[in-house]
Parts: sequence; C-alpha cells; structure tokens
Amino acid sequence: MPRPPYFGVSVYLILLFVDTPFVCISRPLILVCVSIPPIKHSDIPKSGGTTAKRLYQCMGQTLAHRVGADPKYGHSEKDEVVVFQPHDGKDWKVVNVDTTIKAGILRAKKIGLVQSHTTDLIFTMEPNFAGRELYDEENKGRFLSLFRHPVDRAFSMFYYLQTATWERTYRPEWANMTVLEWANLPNAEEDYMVRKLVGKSFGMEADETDLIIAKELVRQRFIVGLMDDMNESIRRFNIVLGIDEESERSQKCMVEFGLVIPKETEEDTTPVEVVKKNSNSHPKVRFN
Amino acid sequence: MVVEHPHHSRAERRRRVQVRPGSDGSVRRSITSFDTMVIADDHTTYSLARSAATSAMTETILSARTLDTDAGRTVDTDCRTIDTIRTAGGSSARKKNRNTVIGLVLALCLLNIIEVDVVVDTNGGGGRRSLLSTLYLAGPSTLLPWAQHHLVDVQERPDPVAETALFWRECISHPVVC
Repeated sequence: MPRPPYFGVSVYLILLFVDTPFVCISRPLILVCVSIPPIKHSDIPKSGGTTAKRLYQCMGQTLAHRVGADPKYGHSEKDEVVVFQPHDGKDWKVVNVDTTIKAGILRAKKIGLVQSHTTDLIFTMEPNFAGRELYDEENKGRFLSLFRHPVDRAFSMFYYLQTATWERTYRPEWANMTVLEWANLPNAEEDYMVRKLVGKSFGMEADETDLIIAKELVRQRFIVGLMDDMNESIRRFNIVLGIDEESERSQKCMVEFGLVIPKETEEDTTPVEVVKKNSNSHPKVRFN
Repeated sequence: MVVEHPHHSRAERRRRVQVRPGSDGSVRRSITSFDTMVIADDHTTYSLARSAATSAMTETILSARTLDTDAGRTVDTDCRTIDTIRTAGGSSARKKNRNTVIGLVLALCLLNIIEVDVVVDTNGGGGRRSLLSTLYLAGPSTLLPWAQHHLVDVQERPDPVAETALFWRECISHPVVC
C-alpha cells in the first residue's frame, strides 16, 4: 500500500472491519487506510527527537533543549549562555535555555545563543520561529529533522502520553481507552507539519500554497531523516554535525541506541525474520 | 452629432439635428445621458432610446451606426465628444468585452476545478501533482526569505564550526498545545 505524503495529512476516522481495526487518513481525493500496528506497553515508541537528543547527549554534544532551562539547575535566569552538566557522573552538556518553545527561543536570542557558538545542536518544536529569530546572515543554521508517518505519530502520541508523567500534557486517562475510543475524541491534528514549517497556528487555515512553501523549505534547507530508517538518518546527521562515527565513544552510543550491531555479535549470521510493518503476517492489535 | 432625416433638407437636417456636445449645457447633458439615438418614425419624430450606462469614459471618439427601423433606412450618427457618451456601438462592444471577461472567468473557474480534481501529472508514479504545484515547479523558488538568509543550503558542504544545527523535534504532546 503506498504511503501517503508526510505533509498535510489528516487523521480523521477509524473504521472497524470485523476484528481488524484500520485508521484512515485523508487528503482531497485520497483516502488511505492502514491497519493499526500492534503496540505493547513495552514498545511505546519514543519520538525521533527524544532518541536524537539522547544519542547526541551520549556522544558528548552540547545541546539546547528543555532540561537546560529547568530552574533546579540554577541557570535559567542568567543573562548569558551557560554550558553545564545537568547530571552527575555523566558528561552530558546542555545550555541554560529552552529552545523548544517560543518564549525560550526569544530568551535564547536575547542572550545570543547562536552567536556564542557554544551549542552543537539546538532542539525546537517551532522550526519557523526558531529559524527566523535565532539565526542571522553571519551565524547560519542547518536544519535537521526526523520525519514520521502521520499515523505512526498519532499512535505514538496516544501511547506516549499515557505514561509520560514528565510531559505537560500527560494524559493518564488515555491509558484506559482503546485506540478507537481515543480516535473518536476531538484529538485530530490537521496539517501539523505544514503549519509548523510556515509558522501558522492551528486557528489559521493552511492551504496548498502553504504546502508548497513548506515542501520547498524542506527540499532546500532540511537534512531529512526518516523514522523508518534511523540508521541512515543518523549517519547523515553525523556527517553534517562533524561527528566521527568510528570513534570509540560514538560506537558505544550507537550500539546503546541500537543503531549499529555490536562487533562481537556481527559474526552471528543467523537470518532474522523481518516482518514488514502492517503486512498480513504482522500481528494486529487486540482490543478490549 | 449629425443625424440625417429623409424629410428635411440637408441644411435643415443639419441645423435641426446637429448637436455639438458642449455648446449647450442642457443639450450636452441630454446627449451624454442617452446611449442611443434612434429614429422612431419616418417623418418627424425622433425618440431616444435609453439604455443603461454603467461606466464613465473621459475621452471618447465614437462612431455609431443606427437603424431607422420604420423607414427602413440607415442613418449615420457621428458623435465626437470628450465627455461620457455611450452609444449602441459602444454598448455592443462593451457587451462583447463583458462576454469575453465572463468567459475568461468561467474558464478560470473550470481550470480551478480541474486543478483540484484531475491529475495533471504524476510524480514518478503513485504521486499526485496539481496544476498549482506544476506551475510552481516551473517558476522561481518560493523559499521563505528568512530561510534563504539564515539557513545553510543542503547542498553546501557542512561546516560544524561556522554553523549551528537546529533539530526540529516534533511535538510529542498534543499538537494543538505545541
């Protein structure tokens, strides 16, 4: 079944065919349905951003994300960029700004985060705003992102927020719901990626022109990674970040995150049966 | 304006019906307020047929031909004025223009419907490209200005020292909240 485009897709309906659930996503004149993948509690998918954040922390990069602005570390109110290690015993480095949200981006701009050249990787959930506000002609940025199938993203959100007590939008009530029940809630996201790229809020209409602008931005300015192919995605990211994949530390981190096979097990050539996601042989979700 | 009538001498006809717009305010007004001058019967009576005036023209040189329907004759009507004058010929031309514009608008509407509903081109098989996208791809870049100036092109050689990477992590909370 062809996968729908990563842009401008709305998850809007779930249909139940006998005992096999499907989620349908729509674009004008396009309707694609996929079977719901089985997700056990232990398999709760993490966002690509979380994986990348932990991987690059592990590799010793200095990051800008939410942790750095946590008041408990005592740097969140300082008027200068501070690089510090938030966790004892680990040489993970962060800066004291939260670039994931607009308020934090404005603060980062004020204290000259990019101009200080202290940060290797800035994480944000506001690509348009961050790109406009943080960088300038002399201090340019390079965009990286992991793109994910919108249905996968919707499921990820559903399962992740059931248990993510640390998230502002933690939803424990979802834990007692089936996917179908959840899908019937007014949770539908619409044109999420396009809106984020062109800087439109959810109250504003996004049309095909916005889609074109968003696609052009990605085409010319984004190092594109796909969640379905993390190995290749991280390999590309490492190149533009100037990370030596062959270094001992990088190898250790790559193994830890399952991106490379440990050398001692490489000789084990036992064929592993790979079940294609959503194929007929792929087990389906059980419902209550 | 000269209107010839079959039962008047040439001089009289010219005297009686020649109207020079602007020489008399009232006449000028009356002329400018009527679109068409039509001979209503074969002897004495002229009637002015009023038609709708819709727009102003500041300088018009207009030559109109009207038909005496009762007498079966044709009279030439020449009118030169710098004021607003509408004639049967002008109305006809405008009507033609209007039809052209309406036709063009309808054609664009049709094109818009086609653009949404019909596959214009396929992108390597399985893809769908609208006319808008096709036109866009044939035209100049629509890259956002800030991206043009603040971000490194993907084809430029990476320079981790000079540039700062920004990772767009999707919102893992509710998208409306993010």
